Amino acid sequence: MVGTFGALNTAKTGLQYQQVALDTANNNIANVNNSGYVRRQAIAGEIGGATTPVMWSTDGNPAGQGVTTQEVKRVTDALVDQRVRQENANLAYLSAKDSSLSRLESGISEPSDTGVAAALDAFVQSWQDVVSNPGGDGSTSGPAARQGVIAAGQTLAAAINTQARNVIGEADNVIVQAQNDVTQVNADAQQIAQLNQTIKVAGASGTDVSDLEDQRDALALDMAQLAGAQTQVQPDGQYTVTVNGAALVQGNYYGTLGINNPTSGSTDWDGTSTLVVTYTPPPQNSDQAAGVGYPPKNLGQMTTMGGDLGGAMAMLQPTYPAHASLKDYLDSLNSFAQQLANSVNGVLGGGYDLNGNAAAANPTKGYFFTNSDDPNPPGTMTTPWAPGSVDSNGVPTGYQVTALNISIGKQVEANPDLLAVSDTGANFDSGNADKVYQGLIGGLNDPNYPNLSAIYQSVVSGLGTTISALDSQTKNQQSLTTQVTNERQQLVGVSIDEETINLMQAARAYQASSRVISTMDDILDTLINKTG
Amino acid sequence: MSITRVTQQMLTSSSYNSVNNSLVALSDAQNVLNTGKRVQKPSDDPTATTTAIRARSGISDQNQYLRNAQDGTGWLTTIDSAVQSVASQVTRASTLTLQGANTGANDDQSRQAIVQELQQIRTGLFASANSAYLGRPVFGGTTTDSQAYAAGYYVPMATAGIPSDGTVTEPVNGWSTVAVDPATYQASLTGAYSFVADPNAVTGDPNVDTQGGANGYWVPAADLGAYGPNWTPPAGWAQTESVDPTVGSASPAQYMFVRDDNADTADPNTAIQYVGDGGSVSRRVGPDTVIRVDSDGAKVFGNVTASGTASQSIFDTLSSLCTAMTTGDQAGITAGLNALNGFQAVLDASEADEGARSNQITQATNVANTQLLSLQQIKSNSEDADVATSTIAFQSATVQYQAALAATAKTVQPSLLDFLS
Repeated sequence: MVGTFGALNTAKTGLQYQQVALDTANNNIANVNNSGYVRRQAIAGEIGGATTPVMWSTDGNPAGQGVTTQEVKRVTDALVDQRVRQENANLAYLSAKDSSLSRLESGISEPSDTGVAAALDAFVQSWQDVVSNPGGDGSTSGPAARQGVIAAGQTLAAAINTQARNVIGEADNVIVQAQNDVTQVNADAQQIAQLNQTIKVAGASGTDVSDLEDQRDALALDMAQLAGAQTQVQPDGQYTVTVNGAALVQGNYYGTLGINNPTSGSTDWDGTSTLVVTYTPPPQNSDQAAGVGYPPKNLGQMTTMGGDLGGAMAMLQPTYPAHASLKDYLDSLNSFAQQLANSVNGVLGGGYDLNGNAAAANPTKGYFFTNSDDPNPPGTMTTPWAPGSVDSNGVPTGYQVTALNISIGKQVEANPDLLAVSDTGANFDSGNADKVYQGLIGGLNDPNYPNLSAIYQSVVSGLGTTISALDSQTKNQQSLTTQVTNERQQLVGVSIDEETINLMQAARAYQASSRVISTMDDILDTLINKTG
Repeated sequence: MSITRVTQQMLTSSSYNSVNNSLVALSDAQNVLNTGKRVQKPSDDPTATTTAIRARSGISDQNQYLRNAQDGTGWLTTIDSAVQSVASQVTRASTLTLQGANTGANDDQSRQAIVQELQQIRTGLFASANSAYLGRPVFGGTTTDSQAYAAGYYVPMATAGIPSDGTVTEPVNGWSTVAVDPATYQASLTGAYSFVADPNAVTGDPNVDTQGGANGYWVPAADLGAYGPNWTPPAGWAQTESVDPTVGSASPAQYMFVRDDNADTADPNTAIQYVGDGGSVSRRVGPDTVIRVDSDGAKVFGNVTASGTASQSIFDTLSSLCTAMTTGDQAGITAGLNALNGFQAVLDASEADEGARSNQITQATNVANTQLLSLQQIKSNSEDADVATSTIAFQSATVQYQAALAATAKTVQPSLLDFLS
């Protein structure tokens, strides 16, 4: 049995629902270009009879009693969201590495006529010029050749120094980047914890929290990109965010990350310090004290991580295969510089200077390559020449030649006559200069004197191969990320066409419901005023 | 996953991506065309980068070999012209000697003229023996001296001749005209001089001084250390005692060479001594090709090194010849003639040797030039852009970019709203 005014009521629910549908479409259209926005759907629910028939039930309207707005649903999928975060974290990790190494690569200017390889070639050849003209300052021939070796050596040392400085400068950038990342992650974690709380409380009271959920998703994505953070949705709708398995956000509590500063106390990265992230867990949450959810895991210190921060950290660490980080590149460059010093100093150590003094008897004077910081190079000039010593842990002690500090020995620089180019004594013999040349190109058949150009080539091609591989990995990851993002967009994105149709649909339905009311009004007018 | 919904943001972001990617491709193609280099950075093509660096290194090697070969050719050319000039002078000396040997046909005057010409030849040979390339004597080995042969005097180190009187520091009158080589004696110039007595030294010679009633020479004390007790005069000289007749009768026990750069080399009494060090000078003209580019003066002209073995030098031969010619010593003239013939044979052999070494250098130069060409080819192949390919790549990048722009303009603009009235 339908009540007389029941139809009016049904029409009213229709008007109400269509109003909500109109508002929803309107809001969707307004947010069409908002990238963090998840489209809403007004979900209609039918108002029917009582689900359980009882005696004397008057509720017998077979046509139903109208419509209600069950919810304004955020059209999203937690699994897809998770994948988007995961792939974005991978992408951020790869691009952090790729862009850092690419910046380094653009600074090494190879292959070219100006890089280290060209300077090395010129240096190697300058020894042949000394072979041709071994004369010293006092003679009519040759001072220019000895000066030429010094000048070519300075150019080479400067080119190596420049590369080392580029690497260290890039490492300094990376450190700043990592510090910013950590600051941002902490800020995000704090906000997510607050949103967790707000959403829980407001959601319980029935308030619409969709926009807060949008915000929280954006923050979770940001954390994934920054630190490879993983987000789990708890049964109560709260987000638990973990980094490397360590919970950073748990309910309304949040922990913090810290990062050491390898450049503190000095202006530059020292070439060995790594980035270490410290972790302070959230305060114990009484809700989870009983082991519910994800108990805090105190990892103390982390040395590897995902996301942008992880990429930055990897740059300062040795990798396998080598050449995949700034640290590796600097190490390779350092061994190259040390081998260069060993080769030149080692061979020169077996010769005689222009005054007939044996270089071996005069350890410090004839050093060709030294550490620029070292006022008195240590050690004796032997064959092979030993660079600064190392302690039991392999850590250099004293003044070690590195790519950053390799320079020409001050005494030789001031007096090229000290170059021990003679094999026999105080004369214009230049057999030892030819040996230096041979030592540099690996012509001595002595494992202590390898071909330096080949060493440098492998350093450069190693970097090139790494970047080339990283480039394609990044590209692949980019398209994977785009695909996953598109997948999510298919679900959550606003289509203007769709919303326009929704709008028209709702508007028409609204008109129809209004028509029902006016029709009912007519009917009632007839019934009340014209009947009887 | 199949695409079921396409939203405005998907269109926008894919438009961004495609426009951006096309622009990157366009910029890359443009960069290749602008620089002419296919490989801009190692990651563009790691293998080609290594090849290019190696080729550059090889090019620099070959260029250096060419430079070394040029330098070596300079040495050998200098030696060649010196040896040729020496050969013609020795031939002339033989001719003159033959003329002089003809005692019946020559009066004293004409023989004197021959002696004078022989003396001039000796001076000429001295100049040839000191031929230098870029300031270095080509017959002097690795000596730092500017001469391979020096003029001076042999001074007997008579047992009574070396007083311990080192207190005399002021060179005596006349000593100053003797230019003791400053390079060698620099240290001793400010130090002590020793007086070396020579009973046969001629009074009135500006180089000769008198001390304690004996004639002799002032010698820087350092010389005695360098040449003194351990030094023996050239065997040829000592045996024939013919170099300096005025001192020749002294005890030939020990002599030292006192260098005098102002000595008259035409004077047969002036000794000409090898002062080179007998070392060798080589040039690397290929990875494993090292060619000697100097010539051992002691082999070509004779004479001894400070520590080497003795042989009679061509200068000693000419001195003896002059003496024999002056005194009419037929046996001496014949011996001199034979010696000159012997030197001629040595010179021929030396010329042949230099010719062979020149050929080696020429050969190495050809190899280096060929290598240079092929290395430049390799370098160019590995890093240079192929203009045709790059231009086509640039064109297609341009087209791609335009297409992306056009597609963006078409897809982003319309929506259902455009078609509702």
